Amino acid sequence: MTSLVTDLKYRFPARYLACWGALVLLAVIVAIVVPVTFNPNGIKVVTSLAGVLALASMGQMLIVMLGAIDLSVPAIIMASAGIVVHFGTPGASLPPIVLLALAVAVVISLGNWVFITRLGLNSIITTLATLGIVTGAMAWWTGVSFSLTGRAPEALQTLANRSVLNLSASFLVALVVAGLLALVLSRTRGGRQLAAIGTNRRAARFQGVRVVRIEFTAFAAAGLLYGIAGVLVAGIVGSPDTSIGAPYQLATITAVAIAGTAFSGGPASVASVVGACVFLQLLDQALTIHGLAAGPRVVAQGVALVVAISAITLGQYALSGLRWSTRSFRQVAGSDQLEGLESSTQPAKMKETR
Amino acid sequence: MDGTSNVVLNETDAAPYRSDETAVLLTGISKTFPGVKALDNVTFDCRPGEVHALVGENGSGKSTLIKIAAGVLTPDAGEVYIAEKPFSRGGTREARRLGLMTAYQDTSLVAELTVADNLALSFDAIGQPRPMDLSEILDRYELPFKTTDSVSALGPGARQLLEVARAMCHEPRVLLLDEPTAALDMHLAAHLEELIKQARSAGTAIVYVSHRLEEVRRIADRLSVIRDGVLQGTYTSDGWNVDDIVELMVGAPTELEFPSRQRPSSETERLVVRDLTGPGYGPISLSVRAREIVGLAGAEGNGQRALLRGLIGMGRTGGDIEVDAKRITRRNPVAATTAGISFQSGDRAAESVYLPLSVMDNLTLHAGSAGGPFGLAVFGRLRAMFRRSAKQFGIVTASPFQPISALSGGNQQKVVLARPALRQPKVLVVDEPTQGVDAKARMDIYRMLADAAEDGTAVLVNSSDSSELAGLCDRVYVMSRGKVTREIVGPTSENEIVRSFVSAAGLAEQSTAASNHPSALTRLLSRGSSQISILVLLLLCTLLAIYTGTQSPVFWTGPNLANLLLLSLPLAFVALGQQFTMLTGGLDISVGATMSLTVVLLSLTLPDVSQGSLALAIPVLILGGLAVGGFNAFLIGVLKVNPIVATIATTGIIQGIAIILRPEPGGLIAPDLGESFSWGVGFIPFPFLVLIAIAVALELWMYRSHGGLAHRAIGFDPQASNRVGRRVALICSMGLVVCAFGAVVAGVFLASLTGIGTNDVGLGYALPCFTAVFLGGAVLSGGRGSFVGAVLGAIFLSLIDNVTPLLNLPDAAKQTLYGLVLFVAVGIYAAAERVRAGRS
Repeated sequence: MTSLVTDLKYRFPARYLACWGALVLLAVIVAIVVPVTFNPNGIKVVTSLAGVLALASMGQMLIVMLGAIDLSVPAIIMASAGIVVHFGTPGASLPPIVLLALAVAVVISLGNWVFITRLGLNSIITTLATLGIVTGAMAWWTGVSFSLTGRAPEALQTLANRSVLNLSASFLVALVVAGLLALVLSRTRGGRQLAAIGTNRRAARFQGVRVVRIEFTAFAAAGLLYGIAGVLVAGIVGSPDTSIGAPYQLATITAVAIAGTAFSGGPASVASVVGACVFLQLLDQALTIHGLAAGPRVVAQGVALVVAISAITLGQYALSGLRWSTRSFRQVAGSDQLEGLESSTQPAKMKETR
Repeated sequence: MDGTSNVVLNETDAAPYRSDETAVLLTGISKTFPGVKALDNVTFDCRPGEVHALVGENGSGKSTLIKIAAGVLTPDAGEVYIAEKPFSRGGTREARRLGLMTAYQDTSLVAELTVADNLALSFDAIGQPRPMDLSEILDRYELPFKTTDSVSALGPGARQLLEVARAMCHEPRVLLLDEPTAALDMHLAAHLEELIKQARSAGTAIVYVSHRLEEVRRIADRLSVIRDGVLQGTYTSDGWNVDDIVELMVGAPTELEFPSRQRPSSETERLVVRDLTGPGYGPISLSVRAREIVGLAGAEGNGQRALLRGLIGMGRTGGDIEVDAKRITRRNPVAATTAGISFQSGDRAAESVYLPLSVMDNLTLHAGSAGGPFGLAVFGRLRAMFRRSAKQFGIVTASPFQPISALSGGNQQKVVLARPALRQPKVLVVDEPTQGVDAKARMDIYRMLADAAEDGTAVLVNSSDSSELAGLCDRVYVMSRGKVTREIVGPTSENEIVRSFVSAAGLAEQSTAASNHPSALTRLLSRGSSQISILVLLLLCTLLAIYTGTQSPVFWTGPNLANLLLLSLPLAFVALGQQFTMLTGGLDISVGATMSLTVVLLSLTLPDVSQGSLALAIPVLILGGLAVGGFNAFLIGVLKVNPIVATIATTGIIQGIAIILRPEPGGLIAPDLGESFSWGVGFIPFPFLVLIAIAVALELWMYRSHGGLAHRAIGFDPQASNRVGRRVALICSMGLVVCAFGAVVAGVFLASLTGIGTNDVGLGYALPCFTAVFLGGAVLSGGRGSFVGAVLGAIFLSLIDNVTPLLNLPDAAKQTLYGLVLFVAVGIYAAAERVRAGRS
């Protein structure tokens, strides 16, 4: 019995559970203060945007698990939404257009893969550059509204705005994808090795893990998830423009942080990421209904991020106490633990590029 | 040299300085790391004019004790007194100021700086004036290199000698020496002994950490033994013999019981290596038969580690490897693993365990198809696998799901060595199987290796512990200078092994002076990288300007050039700020939002340039800059949040505040502001001249001043800088504040251009800001960069901005160009960096 409790404690650590606690707390407060949020239409709005955010955040999560970070999410979402609108003129067949949009998203993300993992460039710089290149290129090619009408195909709009029991189509898609992703990450060798690469890339290589293949798959999958998010958001919004992806840079990173993922790389919980997305979208919706403008809502999201990451990092360092240290000023995370934990042998001089 | 040192030796022996006061005293020190009690109620002292040796095994807590005395670590309980003054929370700076100098085993030198810079840094950090002639210090200690040599070009022995000499040249009251002879050959070790004796006779209290008991016997006045964080006893120099001390260190009788094994009868060679070559070793040929345990011996650093990694294809340049007579064609770990070679490193944190992952994951991640069909990992199978291994090998854990970081070193190592048992490899290669492992776990590990051999595996073990090899192995290859110099077959003894590699070719480090001379190209790259980027940028600007001049008559007109320079100001100032924080390894993504906020604040406070509005606007901006920079420093320094995530969070908050203050564009910003900025010499605006002056001044500051040296040192190596007493956290925090102020100044110029309060006007500056800084030669890891380069980068980007309409390119093309330029710049510099790293 006690060993079962101990097992559960370690299998579901507090950092993964925190976002669920926050979500329940928020739901209770919202139900009391702005109950109108929970009317059928309100739920539909929250879930439709939360679904898109969850898809994009799961992509971000895959990148963060590898110890990198993706600032190019807005550009990739915008590119796939833009392609759907640009080619989705009345009368065009939807499936090939959607496939093209997803393929473009995958290709852009694989571009990041080449520069980050194969050439060893820093992920911030790489994805910042990708963000600029793709955003500029799309605006150059299609203009701000992507096409003359600027409207997503009717079929896509109808599809994206469907709902089952007030849960929007995008949210249902996100749930199915989340289920699959969770299974892959926990019940396949490749998925489990992804977390291992994120924690200690060198050790994984030494053990014969096919690091290149797994990193490739992770980046491709992230691109695919951003692409699905982009296609769905085009359908939900109806007439997107080049700024459609903008909120997803801060929001995906916030969601991944609230879900308890360590930015130095390593394991993550898909379920918590979905929970964190619902939390963020519910918070945003409740604040909007409560009459708050865009500014305070952005501040709220920033504060949520600060609180989440501080809580998690403080939790991690609870044993060593609150102490000024030089370590966190560095981007190199992982093997360089706090000084004083005596390394068992000479420190490895050969540093793995990331 | 020998003549003079003999005289000193006699003096020392004749009249050692004695006193009853303690120079350093540690009382009741306890320290716990997650999962390990490193020190338990330790009391230790050292008097002026004595050498007090501290001996113990790896992981016994001796380095932790030294780091507590030096102020690197804070004890959980207990007090430290230096010269009878209590000192507990002051850090390294306070300890050094009180006269306690430390020479660390892994040194506190900044490898990228020169010897002179490293010496100067040490004097600066504790507020002592630098001596006029730094090379005199090298002469005084007879060090075989020049002050202009880069520390990275020195061999490990020379570095260690420099580390000790640098600690001694401050004429300390207390000198802590942590394994000072670990990287020295016999000749240099003798030289060091003389230096130590000189310092002792000058009245210095010397704490000497070592595990070489012969050395300790020669120079120590007192000796204390530490084991598992507990002090075992203190002896005077004539009151001990080696066997007793070793027994105290190990905590068990020195005769370890090795598993008894049958001599392998099989003659099939499972692993055959022919003429293997790689960095630091080769050509090497060896073979291991089935059921055989073969050892690899040699003094530290003779190519053993590199050879083992070469066996799995890492860093191998030539030669053949066969497993069961099948040649491995591809040189990578995947091919080696597939062929049946399993490699387990003893450097657990860096190359073997996944610290945050569970014990079960660590064990079963590499179990392969035993976990399930089609690449699946069936939970039930993994769990059964874990239970079996835990029982078989005695792995003690509270739960299979407990993170492995919470386990003791011995238990972690058992998990590591249980991995190959799940896959039944043909060849098992183990590097340092028992480092940092307690005596009991050691027995279990020997048993595991013997069992693996029993099952038919060919086992190759590298160990720096020769008694281990003697007890365990059927054969031992002895390595020296990257080659196998001897093969000892059959039962052997620790003494025989050690004798064979000591007599083989002296010790590892033959020439400790500047052993690897950097090539001309490397020197050019390391000294001139900032100048190179400046030259490249100047060239690019010129080419682009000339080309545009041929395409458009407008370009070379005064108004256009004035406009170009004015428009470059916001970007240039924000880039200067960013370069400042990046020098110390910092990073701030929130600069764009800070610029927006500045514009919004000015639109609220500066409708005209009058004294009244200035009196309001200036304090508001200063407070804003302090708040942003301080908040970033708080998140990164105190809450230890990853800098990228922290400044992204700050971006959100600042952006939100800007939107709250100015939901819609509005609020006129004094038009006089723009006009006053455009006044200047010819077409060059006055603020631009100020900008150039600031950039040049910062560049000089960076290379010429104490502060600049400190910033570069922290950027290159914050740990070393902290050890010499530089206040790393404070300086890094100040860097972030300066960066925020750069963004505020940039915001002021931006406001003068926009003339109206808009809440998102600065957002577009984040990408070009990084582009400009990277174009200028900055690196994210810190230490390198150029302020002039950053400004030139900003000017180049503004030039692109200026010429796109003149060349009839659409506005959207600009962002794409910025991104492309960033890729190209970073790609080129990264390649240059790789060349430099590869050659030095």
